[in-house]
Amino acid sequence: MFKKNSDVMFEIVKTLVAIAISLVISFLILVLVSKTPVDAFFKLLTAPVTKIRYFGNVLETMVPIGFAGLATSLLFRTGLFNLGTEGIYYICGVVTATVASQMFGNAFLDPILTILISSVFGGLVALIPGYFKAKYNTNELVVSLMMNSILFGLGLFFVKTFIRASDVPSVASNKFMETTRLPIFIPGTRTHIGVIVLLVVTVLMFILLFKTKLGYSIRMTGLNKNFAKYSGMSAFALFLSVHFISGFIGGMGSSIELLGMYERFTWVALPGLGFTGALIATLGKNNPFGVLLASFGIAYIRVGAEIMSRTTDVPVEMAAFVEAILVFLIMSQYFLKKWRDRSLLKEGDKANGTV
Amino acid sequence: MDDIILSLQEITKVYDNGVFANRKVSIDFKKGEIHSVVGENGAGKSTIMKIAFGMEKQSEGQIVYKGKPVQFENSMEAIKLGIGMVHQHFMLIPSFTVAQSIVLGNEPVKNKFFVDYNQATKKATELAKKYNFEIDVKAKIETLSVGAKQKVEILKTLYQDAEVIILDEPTAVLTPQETDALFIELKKFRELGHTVIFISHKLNEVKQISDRITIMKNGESCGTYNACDISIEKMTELIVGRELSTSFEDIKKKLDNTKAVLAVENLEIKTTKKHTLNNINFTVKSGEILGIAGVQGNGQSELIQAIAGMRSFTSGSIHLNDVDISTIPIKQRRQKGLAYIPEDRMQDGIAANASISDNIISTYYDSPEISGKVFMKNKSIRTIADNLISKFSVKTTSAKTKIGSLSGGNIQKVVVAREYQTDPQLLIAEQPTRGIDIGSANFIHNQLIDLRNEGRAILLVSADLTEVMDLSDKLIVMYDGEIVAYFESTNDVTDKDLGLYMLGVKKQSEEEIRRAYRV
Repeated sequence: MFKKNSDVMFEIVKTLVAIAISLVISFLILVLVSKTPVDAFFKLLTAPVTKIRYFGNVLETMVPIGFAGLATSLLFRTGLFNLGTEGIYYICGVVTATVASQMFGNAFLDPILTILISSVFGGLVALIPGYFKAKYNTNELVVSLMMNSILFGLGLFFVKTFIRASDVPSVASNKFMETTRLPIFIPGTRTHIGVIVLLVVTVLMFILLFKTKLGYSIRMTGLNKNFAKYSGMSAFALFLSVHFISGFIGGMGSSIELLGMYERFTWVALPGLGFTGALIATLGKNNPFGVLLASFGIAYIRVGAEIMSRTTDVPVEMAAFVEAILVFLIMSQYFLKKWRDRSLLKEGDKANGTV
Repeated sequence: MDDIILSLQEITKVYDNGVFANRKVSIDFKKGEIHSVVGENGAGKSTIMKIAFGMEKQSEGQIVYKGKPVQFENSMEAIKLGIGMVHQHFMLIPSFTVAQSIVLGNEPVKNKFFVDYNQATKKATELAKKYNFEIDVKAKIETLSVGAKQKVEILKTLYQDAEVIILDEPTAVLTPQETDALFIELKKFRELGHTVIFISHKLNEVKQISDRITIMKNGESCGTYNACDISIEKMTELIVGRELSTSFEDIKKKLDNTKAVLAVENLEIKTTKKHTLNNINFTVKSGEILGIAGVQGNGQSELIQAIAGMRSFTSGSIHLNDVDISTIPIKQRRQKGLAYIPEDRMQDGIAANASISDNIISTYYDSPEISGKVFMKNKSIRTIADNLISKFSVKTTSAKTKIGSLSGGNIQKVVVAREYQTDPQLLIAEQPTRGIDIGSANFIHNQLIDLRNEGRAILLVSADLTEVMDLSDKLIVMYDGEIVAYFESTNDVTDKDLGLYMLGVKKQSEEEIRRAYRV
């Protein structure tokens, strides 16, 4: 249900201009730091599409941050500034590791069951900040950040104490069962079926937001919670459901990432995927398809920078630089505002007609 | 006249959203006078004073100070020229001493760099002595009473050499004794040649203290009078007086078999300091509009919020069609037939960034008509939205337009349309036409009458006296959290009398007020 008004158009134009500007600035930086700036810039932009393997890299990078983006965007949509997806990713990774070594040995059931258990676990964990928010109106940002630390500590303790592999020197879990592994989707790459799941979840999320009663109350609460209250919507039930769904998607993303890309659980620090999710949700304007696009874009830049760093003298951190400028420009409320105001005025004159 | 120190000439202030706060207001303030500016809340008194003090910029007109036209960019410039203002809400730092607060922003300095606090204390003491203020300049602000804090604020303006001192509702926070003390001080200022501008809506005080009085209404000045030439009754009339009204008498149907739809009994809201609402008893019957008149801020908002379920109350009960709804959630109240047009449409009534169709269904979005168990029936929503838009003649290109881009009148029509759609037993209309154009207002008035003729109960709260008097069948007047008068018909009361009730000068007997609760 894309509104055919100028809002969407404006966001698209604004995003494109932001991308263009950040590319120009990136190029200027490259001129400063690189001996072969043109080559490096070219690599950054085009390398991911030069080989199917590289493009596969983009897709597999996109999957975990895409799920994290969806999970976070749902919270943001509701007006909840909760950054807890990071902790959910970690703890659900531990759950996945535990479950994935204890499965039945059925290549169809095992991954589905593992992902499902991880997702439900994620949903239940997310209910904790959700409950505090709904019941006591605690600041969800503070609680979720604290939860991240707590979940990380608990998870690492659990890995070291109960599921640590004895056959490798570093901290890692026992191997996942072969049967839990997600099937490869594009031959010749490591791109797994998780990409398809991400697409499906994106569509489901869109339907949830724009076609269901729950989605309606999520949108209205996010836009104006006084209005939602006045209209008789219960914030309590809503906050709980939204947190559960968000945690569920987070747990799913974490589990899919591990089963698709890893043989063991090896995270000894927070993976950063959840925080990237917040970035992606923001870039995607909390719209499911926007989030999907944003996760693709960020994955593309990251893979491009990775390849560039391997073949030129520019370090991989260049990716963070481009991301930063992009976020800065797209988040800015005033960027292109004058242009926007002018076109709004015109539109207003048209709509009001005689008035 | 050369004794005019500050002259506001044809000041007009329009806010960005198109609201006129002041329209061609001209006031002359003489040197050495106490000049009151009176009017209801929202009459534009504060705005015009903020313009004189440089906190807001006028859209048109000019300010002449000591014979020279001036244009203030900010209040610092006004202070430099000798205009000081004491705000209704004090702007003091709790941990500072009185002396520190007085010199704040203009501290005496030693060695070019350090604040000289001894000097500050000395100056503050001298100042207090000169104007006869009894205050301990070494006391911390947080330990002071409200009256003493106000003294500090006044001393601060004097320290800045203010010749014109603007006091915004200074007595609103004071006890009667503190008020008396303040008045003695104000008279002292007058003797010393200062000009005092006194903003208030308490007419007794104004009459007592002022030399001249300017009356404001609806952002316009209704003239300046010598205090000795104008009676309180005359002031009341000017303040609350209304324009020629439309009569709805002939389109109002007589209805039989009416019954009490809303019954409010002994409602009380008590906060730590005072009663916000006390001893509220009334009923609204089917097929009638009960109007609540009163100056804003006398408990009407709290009463409405309690009935609508937006806030809790201390004691009492609320019945809707004989069902106790005192404690049930908003959603259930609405299901039992309550509809509510809120006072602040932008804050409560709409989500400005959502479409019209999203906004027009919010209070019944889960009714079986437009939603199933999980999914919403987007087609039915479209139909309903389109129907309501044409029925209520909302000016828009489509139902998908963002509601925030509509004019105030059209937004309000959407709100009214939505509440109308739920086919309510009781409609609470709170300031239903505030700040909107006359066309939309008339339309909404007619809708309210229609609902009434269909046998619904309507509770109407409005600061606009014309509106309350024209639409209502019965009328109650609220003052200071209580019902002070009840009228069986709006014909039973004159505007002048109504004003006296609204301003707390008159009050009916207990028995007369009890009549508002009819079984």
